[in-house]
Amino acid sequence: MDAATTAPPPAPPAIGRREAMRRSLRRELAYLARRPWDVALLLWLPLAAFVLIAMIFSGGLIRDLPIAVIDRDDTALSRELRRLVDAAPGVRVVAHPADHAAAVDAMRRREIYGVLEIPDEFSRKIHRGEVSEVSFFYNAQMSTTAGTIARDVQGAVLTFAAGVRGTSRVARGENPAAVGDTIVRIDTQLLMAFNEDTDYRVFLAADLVPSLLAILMTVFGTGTVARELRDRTLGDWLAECGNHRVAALLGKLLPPFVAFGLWGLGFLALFGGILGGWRAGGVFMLCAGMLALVAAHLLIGATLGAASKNLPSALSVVGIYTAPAFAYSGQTFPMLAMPAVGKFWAMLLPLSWWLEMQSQQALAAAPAAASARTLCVLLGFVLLGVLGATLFLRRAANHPERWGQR
Amino acid sequence: MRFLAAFGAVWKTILADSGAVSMLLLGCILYSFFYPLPYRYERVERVPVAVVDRDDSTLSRQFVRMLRASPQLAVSSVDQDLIAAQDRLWRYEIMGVITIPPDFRADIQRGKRVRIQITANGVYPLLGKAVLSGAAAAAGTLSAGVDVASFVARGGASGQALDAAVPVSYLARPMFNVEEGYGSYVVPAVAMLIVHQIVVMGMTLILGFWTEQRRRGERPLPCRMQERPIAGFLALWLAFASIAFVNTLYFSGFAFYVQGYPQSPRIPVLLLFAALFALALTAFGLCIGQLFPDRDRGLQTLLYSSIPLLFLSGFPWPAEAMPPLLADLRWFLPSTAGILGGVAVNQYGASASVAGRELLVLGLHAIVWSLLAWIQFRRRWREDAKGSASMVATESPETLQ
Repeated sequence: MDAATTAPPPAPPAIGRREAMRRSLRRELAYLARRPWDVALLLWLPLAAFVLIAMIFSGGLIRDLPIAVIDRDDTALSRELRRLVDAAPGVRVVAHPADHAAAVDAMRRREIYGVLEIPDEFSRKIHRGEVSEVSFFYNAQMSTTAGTIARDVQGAVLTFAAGVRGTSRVARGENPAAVGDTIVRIDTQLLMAFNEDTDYRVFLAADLVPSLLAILMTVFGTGTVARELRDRTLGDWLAECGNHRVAALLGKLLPPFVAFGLWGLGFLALFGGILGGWRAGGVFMLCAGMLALVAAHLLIGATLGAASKNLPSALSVVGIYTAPAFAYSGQTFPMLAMPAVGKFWAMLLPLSWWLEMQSQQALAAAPAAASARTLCVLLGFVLLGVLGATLFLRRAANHPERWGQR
Repeated sequence: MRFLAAFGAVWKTILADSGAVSMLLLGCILYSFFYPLPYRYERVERVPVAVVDRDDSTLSRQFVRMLRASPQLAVSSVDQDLIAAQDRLWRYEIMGVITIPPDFRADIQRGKRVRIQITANGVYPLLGKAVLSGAAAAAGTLSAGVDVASFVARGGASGQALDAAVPVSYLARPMFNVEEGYGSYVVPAVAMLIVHQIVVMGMTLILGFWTEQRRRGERPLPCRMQERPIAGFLALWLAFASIAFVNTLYFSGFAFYVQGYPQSPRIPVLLLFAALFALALTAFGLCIGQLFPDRDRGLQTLLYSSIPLLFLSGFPWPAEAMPPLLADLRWFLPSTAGILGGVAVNQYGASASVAGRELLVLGLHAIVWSLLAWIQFRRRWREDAKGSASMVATESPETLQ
């Protein structure tokens, strides 16, 4: 067996590219039919990932997070403030610790996310027209919840303050109607465009699904080529396809392209069904972009598989390339705030481009032209992938002595 | 094989395997610099916005100056073209549009309320928040100035006016991550996951390769350990656990410090946590590592699991917002207690009792997974088990045909 594979391959019969692709496809399908593990990577792992992501975010918006109140005043006014805070949607007052130390301890135990401290003399100071100070300590380590609770508690305190201020100015003898009119001269109307409800679930879940697909696709693309090297069958494969390397490669990657392409388009259909209101041009851009993303990741995987000495080391590189890709994609921490090296790395990841396009087209409903450049970049990755995989495949084919390394 | 000889033999196997060395011994060092890199500046500043000034008066220009002074904003254009601004918002060239209404100054002078519209790109929460809070703060400053000026004009003293303007002052005091840096928030949690993933995947490399060797009829190390199985099993477990222990301490003691992330661990609690975490995750790794038929499968299957494990743990996404069933089931994975316990011990400075739940769960994981791993260890590698090859070999590489 070893002798046969290390010998130069027999002169292949001249076949056309289309026939080469068909043979490569047939060979790959025959392989997959005997390999339930590989089929699991194509079918069951994506399904499990989707279901899990959907389940994690199915619980609803972040609301009713437990917080505590230390009320050292305990008067009608302070109880009014407590009531307003408890009524805010994001938080729920669950405890009244004895002192600050007990509250911080409860925060460490993660029983509460924050504590509002109302000082003694709170209402007396307000009645005297002095400024009363309310402090809200919150767990800023848990940034996801910190945003919600800090906003809601501040809102409740400001509502309370506005009420007090109006009352005190009326008490000083101003006309109530005039006071109501001028309490705040300049209003600000705050709008979150493209994501009106600030629903974290929508963009988190929608970003995580393609991120997981990107990892799986790259892993699969890598294995497709690297296992021919591992099993010392690279020569057989290429010989069978008449040494048409591009055709052999594309035929071999066709089954995962179809499988992952269907997962990607299925995800878009589901996502579009939830959001609704996509422009026709946007649908086209999203479908084209998704298919380009699938092809790019499979081909980049194939490149790494052909370039590495064995499958585990190829997979380590895949891990570095894809596992932190979501962090670099700029969806959670924006790219414009990254150092230059980070931005540069982010641009080398097809995922960053795709996620930008996804948010432009699917969430912002931007005109299709706004994402044209991004689609071109994704297609560029596909071309680079074809080129890279073919070149490294040729190099690997020329060095049969390197095959079979573990 | 006695314990020490077996322990040494496991280490020798690891050191002889370049793939395992680069993963188990060097992987955490690489990721400790690579993963936090995008978050180096910790916060979002100078977010590009467009101002649509439809008033163009002295007051509106004063407002624009205040916007320019905001560290959170970078005003990229000031004009009257709302359509162009919307288009640039779509292209993501700017992340917010601040619209000053016509008759802004005249209306304020007449004592009428005016409304400034602030639109931010809500798809990027951090950018949106920076735009909203930067612009709202500028508007608040301007508003307070106008308010005080008119109060004084009505004959009040300006000191009294300021007091009356804010009867209740609100102080938001972030704890633990006091600077509210993004990297300080996310990296400590992910660091524990990185240790978990790298060590478990490294273990599948070694264990999977032994399974391959066994199928080829060779006698890999676990087979030779069967004459003294308890010593052998403990050596195997502790060799990997020592690596996980060192990697955990590397992040807690060195990487967080170098990155400048706030932390205040109590050293004995940290050592206890690192030991339990290391034992739990390597017991888990021993158990699943013996299930993979070859060297590659573990990596292929586990690479994608990092994101689901993180979001299941309840760290970035609060368990309160998960379905109750999932919020309970997440504890069946050692990564959950590892991530939450690591943050509690390192960032909250938890005592053993405060982190008691996580420490207890990690101990239980160590016991249960090691028992399951022990059962496999005895079944898979026994010399006499003729049928073990077919039990292990769910698929055989082409080379054997």
